[in-house]
Amino acid sequence: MGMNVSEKILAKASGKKRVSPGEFVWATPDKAYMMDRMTPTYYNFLKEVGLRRVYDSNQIIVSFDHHVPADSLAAAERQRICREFVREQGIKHFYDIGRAGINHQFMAEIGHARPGTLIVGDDTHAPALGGVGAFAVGLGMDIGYVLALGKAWFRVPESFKISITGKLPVGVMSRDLIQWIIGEHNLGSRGAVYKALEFAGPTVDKMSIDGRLTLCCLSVQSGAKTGIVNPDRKTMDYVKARAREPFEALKSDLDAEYEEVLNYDVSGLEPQVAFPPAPNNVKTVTEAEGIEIDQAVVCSCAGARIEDLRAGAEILRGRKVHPGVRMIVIPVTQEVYLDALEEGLIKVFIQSGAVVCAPTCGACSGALAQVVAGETTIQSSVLNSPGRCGSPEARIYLASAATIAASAVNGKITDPRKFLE
Amino acid sequence: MSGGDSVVRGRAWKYGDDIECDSMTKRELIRMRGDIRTEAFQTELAKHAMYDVDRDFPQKVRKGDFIVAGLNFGCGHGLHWEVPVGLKKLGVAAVIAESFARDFFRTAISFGLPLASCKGVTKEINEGDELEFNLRTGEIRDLTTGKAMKAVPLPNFLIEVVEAGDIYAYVKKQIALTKGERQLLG
Repeated sequence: MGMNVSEKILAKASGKKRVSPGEFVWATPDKAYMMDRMTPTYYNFLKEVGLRRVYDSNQIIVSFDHHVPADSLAAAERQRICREFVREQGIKHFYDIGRAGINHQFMAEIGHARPGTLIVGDDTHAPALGGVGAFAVGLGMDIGYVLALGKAWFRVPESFKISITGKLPVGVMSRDLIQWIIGEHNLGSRGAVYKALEFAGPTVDKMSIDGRLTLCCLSVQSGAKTGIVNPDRKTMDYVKARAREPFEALKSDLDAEYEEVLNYDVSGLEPQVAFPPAPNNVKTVTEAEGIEIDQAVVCSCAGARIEDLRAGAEILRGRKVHPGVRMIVIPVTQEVYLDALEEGLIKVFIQSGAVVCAPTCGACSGALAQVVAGETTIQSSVLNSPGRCGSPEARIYLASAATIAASAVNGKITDPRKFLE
Repeated sequence: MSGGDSVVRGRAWKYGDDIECDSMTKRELIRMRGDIRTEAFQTELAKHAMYDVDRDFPQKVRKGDFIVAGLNFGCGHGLHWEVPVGLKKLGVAAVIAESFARDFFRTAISFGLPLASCKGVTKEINEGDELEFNLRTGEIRDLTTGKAMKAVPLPNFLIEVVEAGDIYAYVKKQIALTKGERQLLG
């Protein structure tokens, strides 16, 4: 019996011929990346266990994304400690302000995440990197001992194969697709708990790398351990120009085993909106239409790549943001920001009355563009739990960049297809 | 669970499905990013354990008691280590649940809170039952009803993490055992 791609990557990283779901292994991540806010905590871990040197400085990536640029004295101090840590340990993969972006996407763009590699990050949405065929998970505090030991423990997950067919209609994005899967198709917060979701089928084959990263990123919201797409020619074209070290593009065997195989047809899919208080509380845009908004934000590791910015700009071109709405656009990385500038998208946003901010987690993690009690915001963030964007009494809706732009123009949640026909 | 004694006895406190990680403490305590290595902060976390789920929990629980819960325990932002640290400090011997959210599972183990997944546990065990739980074998005995169940036991190396107290202590031990070579024994 063959193995699926997740099992193959975990087997390789743990030095085994094969691994099976439910098995616990120690594995060596190819790369371990960590952010500005938490790196000082892991540095303290290293000191507390009495180690002077990290296990492998080439394994470690320090990259700033949560507070860019530093928005408080505390954030500035944490970043100072990060720089001290990087210098002291001789860490060459260091990306300070101005050289990076939101890590879960930046790691693919900068070529550290490659097909067939095991990548660990310190934050929840690392699985985005499954979009380029890496097995990626967030470890939280456990990344501290990766610094010390070079390894981490993993439970080999059961896999679901999610096969998607049908052409996404105009105005419907990969963001809508994954929200719909989470909300409508028994992958609520329980169905996929601890599973690896392997996305496949003609729709995924045709999907851009941008779309695949979004798909894998939000798979976490189904309770899954990670999401992954088998690498194909598109992946290789994307990765080859960027990869900094060699890799072996592992793929699922044809006779690989899955706990479940789910088939979805998305040809008639409508734009989807996640209502408060959870990302799995998903309804169609039709059901959401008319809800008045105070703020609209295109942001995060799951909705601010160039494809998203293009979709937003297409609607905003020649239009103005509604006078009662403040709109914020935060490109996911410096590279995407530059691309958007060269394509003229930034001009469109500014002329429409939106403010464009430097790449950062900011508006999704709650450090930027907060909303007060009674206000409503619609964002391409990853989470909408009460209090995530400021006051617990503010309402947070999640949607694609297209739906957000359409809503910003009308001052209320709006079906983007009305602007695209 | 200290001193290598892997069999614990205590009462069961029952909760439902989808208990969110953040609801198991006072949310301000997560936001303040306190130093979990300090006694003062740990005590504060213990005082507010299960805060939005069961406000009386810190008063009624005794050292060695168990939390018995349903599906997807610790869902939401499960990497918030303040939660397992608070439960452990309060003396919770283990959480036995139908299933665990992935991030919570990892974080709880690393901070030394034993977990056991056991299908059907919420049907078989009643609130207040006296339980005996063997961390090594996963065996659960309900001393009140006489029923026996078996949870999926943790692998040995994770039992060692839990028994060391937490991942800090475990890594220190590993480094000492290998004279700084950092080879893993597990």
